[in-house]
Amino acid sequence: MKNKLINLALESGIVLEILENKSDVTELSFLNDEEKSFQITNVTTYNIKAIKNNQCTQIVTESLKRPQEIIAALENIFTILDNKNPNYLTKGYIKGKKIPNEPLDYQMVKKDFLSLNSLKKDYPLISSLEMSFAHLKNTTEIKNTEALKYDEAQYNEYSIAINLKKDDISKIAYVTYYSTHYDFANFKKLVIEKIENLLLKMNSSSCLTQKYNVILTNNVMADLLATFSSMFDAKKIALKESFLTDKYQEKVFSDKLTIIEDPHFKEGIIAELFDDEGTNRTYKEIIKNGKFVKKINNLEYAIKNKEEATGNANGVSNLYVKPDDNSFASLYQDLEEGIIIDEAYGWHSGVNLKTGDISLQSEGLLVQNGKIVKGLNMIIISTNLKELLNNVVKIGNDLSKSRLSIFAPSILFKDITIAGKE
Amino acid sequence: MKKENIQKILEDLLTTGGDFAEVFYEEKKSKSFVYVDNLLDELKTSYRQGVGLRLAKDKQMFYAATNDLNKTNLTKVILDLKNNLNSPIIYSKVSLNRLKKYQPKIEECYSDKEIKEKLENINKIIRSKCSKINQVKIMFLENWQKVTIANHTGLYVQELRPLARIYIEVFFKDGSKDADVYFSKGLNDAKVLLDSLDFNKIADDLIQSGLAKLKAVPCAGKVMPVIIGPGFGGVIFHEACGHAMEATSVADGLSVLTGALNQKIASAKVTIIDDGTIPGEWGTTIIDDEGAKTQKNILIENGVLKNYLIDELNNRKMHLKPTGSSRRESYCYAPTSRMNNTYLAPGTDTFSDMVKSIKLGLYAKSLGGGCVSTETGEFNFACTEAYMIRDGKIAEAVKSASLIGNTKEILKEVEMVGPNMELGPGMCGSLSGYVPVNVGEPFIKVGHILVGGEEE
Repeated sequence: MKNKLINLALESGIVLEILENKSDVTELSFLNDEEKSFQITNVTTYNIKAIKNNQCTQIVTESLKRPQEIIAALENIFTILDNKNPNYLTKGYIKGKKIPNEPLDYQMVKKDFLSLNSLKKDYPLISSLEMSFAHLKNTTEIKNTEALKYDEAQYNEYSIAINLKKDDISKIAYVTYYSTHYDFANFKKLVIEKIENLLLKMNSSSCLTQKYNVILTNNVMADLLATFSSMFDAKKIALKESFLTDKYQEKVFSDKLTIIEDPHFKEGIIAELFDDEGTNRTYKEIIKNGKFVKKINNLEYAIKNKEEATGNANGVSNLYVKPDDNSFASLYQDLEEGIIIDEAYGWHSGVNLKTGDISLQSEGLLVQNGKIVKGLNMIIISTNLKELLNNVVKIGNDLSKSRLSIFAPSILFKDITIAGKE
Repeated sequence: MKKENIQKILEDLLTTGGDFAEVFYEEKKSKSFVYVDNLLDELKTSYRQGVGLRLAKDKQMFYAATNDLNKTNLTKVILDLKNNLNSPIIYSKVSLNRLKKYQPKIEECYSDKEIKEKLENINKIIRSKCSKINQVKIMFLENWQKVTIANHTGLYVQELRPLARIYIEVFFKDGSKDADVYFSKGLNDAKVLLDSLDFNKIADDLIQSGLAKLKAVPCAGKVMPVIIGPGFGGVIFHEACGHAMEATSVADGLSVLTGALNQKIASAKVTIIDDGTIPGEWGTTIIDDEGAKTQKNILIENGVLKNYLIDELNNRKMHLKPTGSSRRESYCYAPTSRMNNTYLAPGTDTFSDMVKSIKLGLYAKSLGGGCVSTETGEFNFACTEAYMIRDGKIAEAVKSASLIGNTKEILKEVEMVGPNMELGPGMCGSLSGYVPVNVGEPFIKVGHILVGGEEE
């Protein structure tokens, strides 16, 4: 069907490249000791890139059964689109490593997850556990007249919402974990750590509005990096939609900070060989010692900016803040007086990607004289990305495990405003 | 999908001894225009077609989503679902009713070329009015979703759901200072949407807001009274109590509002309605995603919790009548109770009386999105344009800040409610994916909210 479409397009002077994404997911969810739902999803999507007369466009479809309609839609787009974006199709042959199907015993998965209910004996304040497990397999194939590229990825996703209740006080915390092979033991370890942390925050209150020295824990830092990851994108920069517009090759952050994309990062869960346009994904330093040294791009913006294509047509893969040698304990020791922020909410609305302004509901722990004195909630971290990432004091070595392909260690910052009720 | 094939699938699902079986077949075409940097940068189309199969027994639910509709794959998918129930095989006959079709009346929309010309014109109008504009981005989206829903009771319905939205974003720069503002409106009729808006006035309002934001200073970070503007300001109720009234969390005892039916949970000024029937609106559908007619549901009346948003399966746990509120993003998601057009009913207080009543506070003219933990009731939402109120007068513009609060506290803190309710469109993300919703309210004054900002 793909060949038929490619050949039909050629008759209209259109060259096509078809990216086929197949996704197979099995997902189980539990509420306390009940199996709540079971879901299987198998979906195939085709992203069709088309070039005609120095113009390029894309359409997305879940069916190739009506090739004439697809060609007609492309012809219509070419007559209307203003964007003259010279482009080209990928070339060559890549056959990614075939990952053997790991036969997962879902009865064992069920048993493992339901066994977490036994934690209620050790932690009687647990009022509910909402859990889910998903096994995902994605395959990607890019095909045009001069290329055939294939890759696949397989991983497991574990998540839990832990609710603790004491009298009228209710506290909740979330753990998300990813692994290549089934690894319930590590997930359970993270769950127990989170419960211990949540217990410290049962009697939380707010704080005074002022500047504090602050540790953002690795999960919060990973969320921050994920939220702002599009700021390195050449298109966002060209269209003035990025906080880093006009700042290329300038020192924008603390010289302690280096941000790297490495598709083969050893801590990574998946290793993508190429992006959605077939460009190889490669190791690159994006922020080096605080300087913005590399924009990421797709083919359109690589050509427009006369730069090398970076393999980021569909965003970043295995992006991370370079960790230092400092343990979390050492960051905590240096904090002495301040706040540990270990959860932040509302990333989709509480940050401005153009101005870098950050205003986020947060919670954490108040540290005085080197000791945790109380839990904090109903507080807001109020800063700007430029201010925050220039106030880096010390970078940890504890890379996060809360996101699939974005990683960061905990970082100690100085003089960050936290707004509170007191 | 043919009727006899749907019937066969339902019968096959029921052989497990399941007591609920459903087929949700979806086709969706989308077209999106992106006009930015003075040109039509993108025009993209997408097409989706797939089926969601749902099987339930008691309170357990099994779901499969696929867009491979050939017989071999569907048989395999159904078998995978059936393997979860180890009951002896039971044969049931399903006889579907005659297909009932629903479709709102809409006008034929402009051609793609005409839409492009309209976007060009809007861009020209905006850019001609101010030299400090650094970028204008206009997005226009058209969707045509056709859903066919059938279940074991014989229900067999179909709805065609057109939908359109325009989103205008303007970015201002003045030396080292920058600011962004936006406008958004969504309706089910693309032509009415483009024809009914006064883009000159919209441009004037955006520029006035943008220039004010360029002068914005850091906000005082503290608890203070807040006036929230009409329209998308209603996101406060969407986050603060809307999600906590969805059966998804209430039925499992995971909402702060579980067990609060007929209790006074809010100020007497608060009446909250979720209405899926408002003609032509962004959050409106004729039937919900379980095939039931949508309704106007009064959720809170004069401060008293009167109802929840309930879907068919959660009705089994709650023993309360479904409210036509079952929604899903696509066939890839099992449906659950969600909001449609949720708003605070108008009152009689005036905006000037609200301002006069505040010595030091915040006027949150426009809000962005937010989120909530239904378990704890803690919520936040972003304030995208705001001004300090000092000694009963609107004062300086302040930088964007988050406002945070707790459901139980905030609902009791609504002190004044204005007369003119407006709706604002958004996309709401939850368990069953992203669905189009309106939020709405008139001007309101809330006694105390924690505002993010600096030490004053």
